[in-house]
Amino acid sequence: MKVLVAEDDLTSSSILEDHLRDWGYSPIIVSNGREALQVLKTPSAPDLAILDWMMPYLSGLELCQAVQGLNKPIPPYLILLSAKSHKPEVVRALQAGAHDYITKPFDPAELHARVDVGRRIVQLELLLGQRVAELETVKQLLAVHPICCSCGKAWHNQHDWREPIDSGASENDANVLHALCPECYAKVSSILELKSLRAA
Amino acid sequence: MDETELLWRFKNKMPLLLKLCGILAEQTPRLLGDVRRGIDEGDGPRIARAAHTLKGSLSQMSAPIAAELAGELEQSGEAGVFSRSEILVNQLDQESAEVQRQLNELTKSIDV
Repeated sequence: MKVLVAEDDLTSSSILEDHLRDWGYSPIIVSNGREALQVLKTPSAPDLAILDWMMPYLSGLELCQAVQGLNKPIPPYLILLSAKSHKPEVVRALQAGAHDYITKPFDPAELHARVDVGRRIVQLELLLGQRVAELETVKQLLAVHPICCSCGKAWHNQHDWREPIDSGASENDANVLHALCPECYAKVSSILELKSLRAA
Repeated sequence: MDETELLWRFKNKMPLLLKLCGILAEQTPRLLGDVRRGIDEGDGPRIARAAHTLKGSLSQMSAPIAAELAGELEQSGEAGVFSRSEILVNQLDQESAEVQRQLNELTKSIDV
C-alpha cells in the first residue's frame, strides 16, 4: 500500500520513510503541503497519508480541510503528525478532518500500530464500496421484468411465470427483458434438436 | 542527550542513525543561522519556522534539553517577543553542539 508522507523536516521524513519500508508500505515523500495536495488529487493517490502540522505553503491542518473538499468516494486516511501535544490542538486536528493524531517524537511501535489501523480502515472502506456497487447491480437486476418472447408470460415477483396481465410488466416497460420461459425454452430446444438431427 | 533512549529508538537501525547524524550536522548550523537572521530582522515567523524544524529533529534524536530550547525560541518567534531570543539561541547553539559531539562519539563506537 502506498503511503504519502508530507514532512519538511528531513530527519523526521527519513525516519518515517525507513520505518514504512520495513513495515511493507511504499512511502511517497513530499516536503510541503502544496505538493501533498497535488499527489492526493491524482487518480492513483495513496489511500493513507501522514502529514506534518507545520509545513510550508499549506499546513497539515489546511491540507486535511482541502482533502475533505475533494469529495473523493473513499477519502484517504489522514494521520496528523505534530510536536503540538495539547488537547485543544488534537481536537482541532480531528475536527479539521484528520482521522488520527500522533505527537513527535513518535514511538515507532505506536506509529506502526496506528498506520496498520489506518490500512485496515481503508481496506474495509474499499470492501464496503465494492459491496455497495454489487448491491446496486442486484437492485438493477431486481427491477428488470423478463417477458417470454414466445408465449408472452412474464416473470412475476422473482417467483413464477404468469400471464402478462398478472405480472405488472408490459411490452412498453423500460425495464422489460425479452427472454424465454422454461416451458417455451423446452419447446424451442426440442425443435432445434429435431432440426439438427434431420440435417445430420 | 538520552543515549539509552536513542539506542532504543534506533534499535536495528544503525545505518539510519548514521544518516540522521549527517543530516543533523548539516542542517543545524543553517537553521541556527536562520534563527539569528530572524532575530536581527525582527522576523518572528522566520524564527518560529527554523526553531520548529530544530525542535522536531532534536526531539527525534532524543535531545530533550536542546528540543525544549528550540521550542521556547519557536514560541518567542510566534509571539513576536524577542527579548530572550538572543540568550536562547546561544544556549541552543551550545546545547546542539554538545548533542552533535555525543552523537559523533556514539557513532564512532557503532559497528554497522
